[in-house]
Amino acid sequence: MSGWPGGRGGPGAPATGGSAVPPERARRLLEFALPADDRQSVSGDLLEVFRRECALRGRARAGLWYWGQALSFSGWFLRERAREGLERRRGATDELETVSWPDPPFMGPRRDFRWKVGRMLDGWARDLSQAVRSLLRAPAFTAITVGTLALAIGANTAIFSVIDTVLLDPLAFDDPDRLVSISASAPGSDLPEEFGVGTEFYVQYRENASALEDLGLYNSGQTTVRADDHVERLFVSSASPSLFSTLRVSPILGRLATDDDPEGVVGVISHWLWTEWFGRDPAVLDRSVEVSGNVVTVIGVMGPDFAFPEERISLWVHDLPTEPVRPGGFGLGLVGRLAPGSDQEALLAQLGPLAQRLPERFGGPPQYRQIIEQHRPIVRSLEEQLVGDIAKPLWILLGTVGIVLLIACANVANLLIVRAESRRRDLAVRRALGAGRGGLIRSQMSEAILLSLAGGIAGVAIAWIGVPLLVRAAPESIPRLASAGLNSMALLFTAGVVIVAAFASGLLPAIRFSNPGIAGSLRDSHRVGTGPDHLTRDALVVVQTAAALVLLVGSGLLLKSFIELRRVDAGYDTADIFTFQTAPDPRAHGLTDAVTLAQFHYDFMDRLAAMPGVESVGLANTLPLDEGAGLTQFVTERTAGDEAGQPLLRFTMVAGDYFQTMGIDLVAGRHFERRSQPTADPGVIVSEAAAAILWPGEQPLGKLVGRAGDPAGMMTVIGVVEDILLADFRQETRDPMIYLPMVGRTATDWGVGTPAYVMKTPRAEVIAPDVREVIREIAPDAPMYRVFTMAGLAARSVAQLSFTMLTLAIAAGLALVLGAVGLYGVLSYVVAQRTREIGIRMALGAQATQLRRMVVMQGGRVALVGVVIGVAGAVLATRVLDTLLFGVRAMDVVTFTAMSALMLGVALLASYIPARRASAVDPMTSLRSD
Amino acid sequence: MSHLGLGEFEQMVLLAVLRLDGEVYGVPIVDEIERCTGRKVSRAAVYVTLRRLEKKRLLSSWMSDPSPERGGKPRRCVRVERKGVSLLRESRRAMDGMWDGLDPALADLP
Repeated sequence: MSGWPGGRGGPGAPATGGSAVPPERARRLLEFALPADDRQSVSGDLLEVFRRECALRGRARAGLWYWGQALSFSGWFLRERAREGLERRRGATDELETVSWPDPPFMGPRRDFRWKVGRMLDGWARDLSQAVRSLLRAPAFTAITVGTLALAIGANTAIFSVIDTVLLDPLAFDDPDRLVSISASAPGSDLPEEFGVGTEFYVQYRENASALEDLGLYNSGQTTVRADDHVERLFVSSASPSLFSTLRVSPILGRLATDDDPEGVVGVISHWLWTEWFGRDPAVLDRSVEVSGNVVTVIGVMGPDFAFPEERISLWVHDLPTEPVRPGGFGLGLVGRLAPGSDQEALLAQLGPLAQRLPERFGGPPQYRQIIEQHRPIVRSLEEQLVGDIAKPLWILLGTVGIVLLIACANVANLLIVRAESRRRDLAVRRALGAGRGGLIRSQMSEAILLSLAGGIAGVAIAWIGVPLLVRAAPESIPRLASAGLNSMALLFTAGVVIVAAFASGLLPAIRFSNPGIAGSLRDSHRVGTGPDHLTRDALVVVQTAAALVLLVGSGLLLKSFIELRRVDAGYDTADIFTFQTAPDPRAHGLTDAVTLAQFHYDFMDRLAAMPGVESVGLANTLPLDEGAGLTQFVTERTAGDEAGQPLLRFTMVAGDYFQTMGIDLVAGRHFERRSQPTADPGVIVSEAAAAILWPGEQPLGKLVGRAGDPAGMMTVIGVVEDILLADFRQETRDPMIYLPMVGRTATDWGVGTPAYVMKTPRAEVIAPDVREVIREIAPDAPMYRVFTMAGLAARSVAQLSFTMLTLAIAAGLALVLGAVGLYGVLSYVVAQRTREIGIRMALGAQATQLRRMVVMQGGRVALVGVVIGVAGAVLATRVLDTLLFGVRAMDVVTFTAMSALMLGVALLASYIPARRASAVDPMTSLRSD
Repeated sequence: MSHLGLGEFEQMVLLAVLRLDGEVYGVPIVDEIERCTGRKVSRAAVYVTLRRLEKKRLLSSWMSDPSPERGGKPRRCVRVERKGVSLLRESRRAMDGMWDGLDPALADLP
C-alpha cells in the first residue's frame, strides 16, 4: 500500500529523494524528545515527508523543514510528556495501569525522585509563566521595582568590575605571590616615615639574603626624551638587569641588558612608546633616543602588558650598580622574589642584621651610620605596594553600593508585601483549598526572581555604560584602571547579586503570606494598617532609613573634608594661573650652557608677558603639586664641618615674576634680578621655615647658604618668602623651600633646561592655543606638554578624595530617594487602606489638619527609629573613612546632626503627600467605598 | 460527560481519519486536514492530538509492518472507535442546534 491512500491527500510518492537522509542532529533531538512508544512511527512519518520535500524543494530546504519539525515536535512532545506525568500523579492507580502507552523512561526505582523533580520543575514553570503574566499586567509596579533593582545591581556590578581589575586580578607576572617590595624606615631620623633604599642595600641583600631568590633595583622619574621629531616629558625608569629576571619578564623584540652592557647607554622601550613613536617598526633596535641629554640605544621592546613600577613608564635605562658604591643615596626601589619555601617574615628577619652591617662594608659619614642604626626594613607584597592606598576607597565604595542594594531590596520587599496584601484573600482561598505552603511561597518568590533577573539584566547594561564613566572620573593614579570593564568575573558576581536580591526582597513577603488565616483574611480586609504585616513594613522602612542615613553621614563627612581641603592656604594661588612646559631643540637654538638657556627663557617670557590678558609670567624648574622639588642637604657657615647637622631641604630654580605670579608673598628682602647673569654671588631666596631650620632664631637676610658638595659654593640670602605645600593639600605642614636663581656663579654650575612656565591671566582656562602659537613662532620644533592650570593641578591632588566623595554622594542621593520612595509607598498604601476609618473620623468631626498630623506623625515615628539606628550605624561605619577625612573628625557632630535632620525632613515630606490625600477624603464616598 | 467534549481541533483530526481509507496514519491525516480546511496545521499538534484521542479511547491504533522506504520504521495506523463517532455526532448536533434558524437572520447583516 502506498504512503497516502487514493491520491486524495497529496502528491503521490515521488521517485526522487528516496534515499535522502535528514540532518543528524535534528534526528537525534527528535529521538530524545519523543516518547519511546511513538519514536519509531513518528520519525518514520517525518522521514517519509522529508523525502517528499527533498523531491519537491531540494535538499537544503527540506533540511531546514526537517529542523523546524524537529524543534516543533520536541516542544510539543516534551510538554505533552510533562502533562501526562502530572496526570498520572494525580490520577488513580488503577487508571495508571490501564494507560495504553506506558512511558518507559519513568519506570524503575528512580521513578519517585524523577517525579518529584519533574513536578517541581513543572510547578516552577507554571508559577514563573504566571508571574510573567501578572507582572506584565502591573507595568508601573514592574517598572519601579525593576528600575530600583537595576540601579542598585548596576552600581554593584560597576564597582565590582573596577575592584576585580584593580585589586583582585593577580599581577601579570609569573608566580606573583612570591614577589615582594622592600623599602626602609628609620624611626627617629629626619627621613620620611618610609623611604627607598640606596644601592648598597641592593648589593648587600642580593649577595647575602638567602630568603631571596632574586632581587631587582629600580628608580623612576620624569625626564625629557627625544627621538627624531618626537620630544616629550616621559616617565623613565632606570633598572638593573636583575629587575627583569626577578619579575621573570622578557622583551617581545630584541633583548634585555646584561651585566656586560655599559651602564646608562642601552635600554628597552615600552610597547606604548614603540607604537606611538616608532609605528611598531622592528627596525627600532639600535636606534638612539636622547634621555635628559644622554644618548641611549634601544636594544629591546617590552610587551603591552608590562608596566613596572607604574603604568606610565616608557623606557627602562640599563643601570648597573658597580662597586665602589657610595652609600646614602636613598630613594631607590627594590623588588625581590622570595626563595621557594621562604616567606616575608623570614626575609624581614634576615634583612635587619644585613642592613646593620652596611657601614662596616661601605663606610659612610656619621649621619649615615646613625640612620643605619635607626633603620628598620619594610617588606610587603608587590601587589600591596603597587595597589597602594587605593584599595581602601574602593572597598568602601563596594560597601556603599552594597548598602544601596540593601535599601533597594527593602524597597522591593515592601512593594511586594503591599502587592501580596492586596491578594491576601486570593492567597487565603488557595491555602484553604489545599495549596501547600511551599507552593504559595514558590508562586510569590517567582515574581521576586523575575524582578531581580530583569533588574540584573538592566543592571549589567547600566554597568556597561557606567564603568567607562567611572574610569574617566577616577584619579589617573589608580593602577590598571584603564583596563577595567565587564568581564566574566563581574557577570558571575552580578549573577550572585541577582540571587541575593531575589531572596532579600522576596523571601520575607513570601513567607509572611504563605499561611494567611482564611477567616481573618476574609473578615479583616479593611484593617491592613495595623498588625504584624504593618510591623514588617515599618521594619523595612526603618532599615532603609538607617542605611540611607549611614551613607548620608559618610558622604557628608567627605564633603566637609573636601570643603576643608579647598580652604587650605597652600601658600600660593591656584586661580587664574596657566602652566606648561616646552622643549626647544638645544642644537637648533644654540642652547649650550646655563647662560644661553637663560637668555632663551627670558626672551620667551617677554613674549608670553606681551600676550593680551597676561598679568605676569615666571618659571620654575619644578612646580608644586606637579613635579615637587629636588631634595638635598644644605650647608651654612655654622654647619660647614658638621655633615650630620646639614638638613635635607627641598629646592628649585625660579626666574621672572615666579613669586608674584604664584602669589607667594615676599616676607623680607627682595626678588631675584629680572635677568640674572653669572656672578660671584648669585643670591638665594629661602622660605620662612627653611630659614628657621638653617638659622634658628636668627635673621636670615645676608646669611650664607649652599648645597652640600656643590662647586657653586655659598650664596647670600637676598629674600625670604612664605612656605608652600609642595606635594598635596593634605600635608599637615608646609614645606621649607630654598629657591635658587636661574644662573649660578658660572655658566656650568647648573642650568634650567625645560622649566614649567607660569602665567597669571584670567584666560588661564583658554589661553593654551595662543601659547602654542607663540611657541610655534619661536621654536617650531618644540613640543608643548604638561599643560595645566594650577586649579587643575589642585583638583588632581585631591582626585582620590573627590572621586570617593562623588561616588559616595551619588550613592547617598540614590539611597535618600529610595528611602523616601519606600516611606511614601508605605504611607500611601496605609492611607488608601484606612480611607474608611478616616472617613468615619471626619464624619465625627475630625479636622483636616488633625488627620494630616496623624499620618505625618506615623511616618515620622518610623523614620525617627530609622534615624536613631542609622546614627548608631554611622558611628561604627564612618570609622573606615578615617584616613580619607581631612579637617573633620569621623564623629563630627555637625554632620551627624545635619544629615539626620535632612533624612527626617525628607521622610516627613514623603509622609506629607499621602497625608494630604488622607485629609482630602470625602466622608460619604469613603463610607460607601466598600 | 462535559469534560470529554471534543475540541475543534480534535474534531478535525477525527473527521480526517474517517474521511481516509486504507492505512490511515499521520502523514495522510495532516494532508487531509490541510486540503479540506485550506490552512496549514502544525504537524506536531496533530500527532499529540492523535495520542490524546487514543488515551480518551476515541481512537485505536496498531503498528503496520516496517517498510524499507521509511528507513525500516513502522506506521502507527489509527481507526475511529464507536465512542469517537458518537462524540462527533454529539458535537455536530450541538453546533447545528446553535446554528438552527440563525442563517436567515445573519443574512440581513451587512
